Amino acid sequence: MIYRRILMRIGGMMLTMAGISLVAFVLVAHAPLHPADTACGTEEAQLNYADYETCLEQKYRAFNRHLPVFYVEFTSWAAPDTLYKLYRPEEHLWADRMLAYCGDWEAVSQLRQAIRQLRLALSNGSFSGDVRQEALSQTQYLLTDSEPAAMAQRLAVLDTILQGGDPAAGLALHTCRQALASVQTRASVWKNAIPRIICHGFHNQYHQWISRMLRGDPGNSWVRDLPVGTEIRTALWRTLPLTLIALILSYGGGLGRGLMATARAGRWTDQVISAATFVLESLPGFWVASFLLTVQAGWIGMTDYQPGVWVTAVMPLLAWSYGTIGVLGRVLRNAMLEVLDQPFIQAAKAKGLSPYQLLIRHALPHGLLTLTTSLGAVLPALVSGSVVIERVFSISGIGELQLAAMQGTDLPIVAAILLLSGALGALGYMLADMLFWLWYPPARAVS
Amino acid sequence: MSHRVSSYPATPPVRWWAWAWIGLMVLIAAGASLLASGTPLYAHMRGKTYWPTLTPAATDTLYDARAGLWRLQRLREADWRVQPLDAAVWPPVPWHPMPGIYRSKRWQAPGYRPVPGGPSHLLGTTGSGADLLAVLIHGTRTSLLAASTATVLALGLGLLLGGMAGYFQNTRLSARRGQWIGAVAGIWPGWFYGLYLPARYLATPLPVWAVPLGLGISLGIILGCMWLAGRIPGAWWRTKVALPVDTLYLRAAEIIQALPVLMLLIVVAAAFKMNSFWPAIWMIGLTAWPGAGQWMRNAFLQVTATPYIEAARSLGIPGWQIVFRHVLPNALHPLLALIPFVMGNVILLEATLSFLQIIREVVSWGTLIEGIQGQRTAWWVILFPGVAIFMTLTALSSISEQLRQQQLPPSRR
Repeated sequence: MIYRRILMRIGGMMLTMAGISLVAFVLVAHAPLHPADTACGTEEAQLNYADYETCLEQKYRAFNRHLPVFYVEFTSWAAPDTLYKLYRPEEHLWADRMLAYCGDWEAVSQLRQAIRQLRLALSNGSFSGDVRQEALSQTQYLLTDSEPAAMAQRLAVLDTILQGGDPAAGLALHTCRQALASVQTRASVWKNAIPRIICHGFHNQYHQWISRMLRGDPGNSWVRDLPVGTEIRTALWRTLPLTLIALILSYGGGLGRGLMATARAGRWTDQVISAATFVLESLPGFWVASFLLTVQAGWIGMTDYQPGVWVTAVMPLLAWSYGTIGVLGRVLRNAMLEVLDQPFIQAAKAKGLSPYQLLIRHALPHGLLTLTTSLGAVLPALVSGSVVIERVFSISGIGELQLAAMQGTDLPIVAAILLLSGALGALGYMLADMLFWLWYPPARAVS
Repeated sequence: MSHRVSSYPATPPVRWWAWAWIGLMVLIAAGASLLASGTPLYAHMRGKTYWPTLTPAATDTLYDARAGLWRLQRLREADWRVQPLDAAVWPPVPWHPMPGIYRSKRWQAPGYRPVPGGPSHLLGTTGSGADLLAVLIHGTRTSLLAASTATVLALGLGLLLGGMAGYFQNTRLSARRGQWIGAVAGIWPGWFYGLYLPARYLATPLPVWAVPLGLGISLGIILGCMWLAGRIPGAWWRTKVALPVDTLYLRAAEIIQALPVLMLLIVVAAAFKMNSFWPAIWMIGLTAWPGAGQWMRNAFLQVTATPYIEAARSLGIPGWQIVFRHVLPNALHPLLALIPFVMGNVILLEATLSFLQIIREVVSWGTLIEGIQGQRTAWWVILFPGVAIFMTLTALSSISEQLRQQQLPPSRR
């Protein structure tokens, strides 16, 4: 029975991880200003359109952006299977707008090809510089117009600019006009009203992304051209020692504080400890950290944390663990007091057990049991550290890396850290649940 | 050792000071623009009466000290300290939280008076030359807005989802297998006709008032699909199966809890290039529900296990009546203590986000404390906002403690 529960719990964790990976992927895939969009320069600046297209193709392939986004695509009957092959966001938007207008992909793609031919003809043909520049910018506007009527006007303008010029350009212009006319018939606009699901199979962006992540290769940073894995590993080695010590301090301190407060429940020592932790918990972490930093600056004259110098680690550790000590201690105290209220404690007391034995033998196990749920948060906390404390004490760990990546919009780093801490969180909660079952058999039966 | 639980008072004391502090905060937040403003509330000049703080859009011919001439200016942006006023009533704190034309010197200690005989900066100035007290007053409004919005969102979601998980559990919401399949199949057309098509052809993006309408249409389509699929014959298709609501709820809550909130907010800010106030607050509300949901779920589980609910069920009272008459009133009471708790957490989170400059463009207590990074000796920049946050959080948690204790029997306080 318990094996079945454990297996189901593992399955649940897998589901959670899949959910987290989806959240992370959506955030990265929908990022505005992807480097592939900007790497080849702006479209207006291009004179040789063929070269520009090759450059785009290369860049989008490098980022896997030539693939469909997900396993399935939810769209309308008017959209073709291959709409994802329009890589650039503005091109995609234009095609989508045209489709919404006429519903006929055949006509829209002919129009697109005709405009492309016109641009190629313009960049290859023999024109004076001014005419070429003017005509190219007009074709550029063709792809930002939302109304076919406006596009028709634009084509008329182009006709006057290219009057009696290159025959190839004239032909392309004529094709454009014809394609636009067939778009303007709006013959199959009804196709937009029918929902449709397209199945793209495994060859998609999410699949590629998550398989690379699972292989431990999160790709390169966008800002600095370094592997994200290396950057995270370096930061991890700065964060991990600190968080490890801080966690040991937190749990040790919390245990001591809880035991002390329980043994002295109702007396002035308990009240003083309770009041002190109450005050500490009401102070924001960043405030305490800033305050401790000022103290440290006055004390040893050094503000930043330096990996080798242990004196500089005292204040960050203090700032890291004081809150957890308070919370854990309070939880422990309440749970232990609850046990000490029960009749079997009275019976044990009557049999002559010493208060110390009562506390350690009977109350403590129950108190520790309530702490197991909090263990779930330990794993992600170990890795992700604390953004606030790393910022205040200038510790270049994971939190600081994440914050810096956010400010520079370096999404591969942001996503990798999110995925890492999310996966560890899911794992931690699962392990905490299992520990709970191991320790407290009645919990296994609850569905 | 003795644990004398009985030595606690019989009824928990009411924390008057905490309620008073929160009440004061609400008053300050409500009247922030009247309490701290760079313009007089009322002014009389050359036979005319002005209400510059109350009529921010109005313009008139006013004296411009910098240019040395009279010219048309907005009342709100004019420098009222140089006008030849006959009579004026200034707000208690005659400074604006965002320094416009009154840019005082930066990092001035409390009591600094820029012009002899003029008003002083009671709590000093910040790193951008704004009056600290004015920023504190307007920051109160920010904090309370954030707290109330995110709390309403989080508690509403938690109530709904946790209540559903606790009431239906894994066995109580059952329907024919075909109906479930129909419902899942209906999600896509429901979204398509209810939200996607209207947004594509009527208005992009869909206006806020139309969203509930679209959602209603979607729900109608989903229910229609469910009904249709339920009519299909076949033993397998018509077997009644229960939806594992509780398991689904626990998975969703676990996804949210496994992601550190601060991390998630950083990621959202990075992906959407936004450092604005409202999206961040919505995000906090949308990720803060598992706490309230867990509470609600436990309350429901406890109440639904009691014999009187079973009695009501066996009397044939419909499920919705049991929920609203018997379960909710009993389950809602413990939730009361959660409100100040969640509010405190949101205020803390908002201040932290401002401190890390993930939220910008808003007057906030956290931004003030960030200023200490620029000038280590400016103790007033860290002390006063620290005291404000401390008082607020302490007040909220002691109110929460009072509400919690009121519901417990004396032996368990």
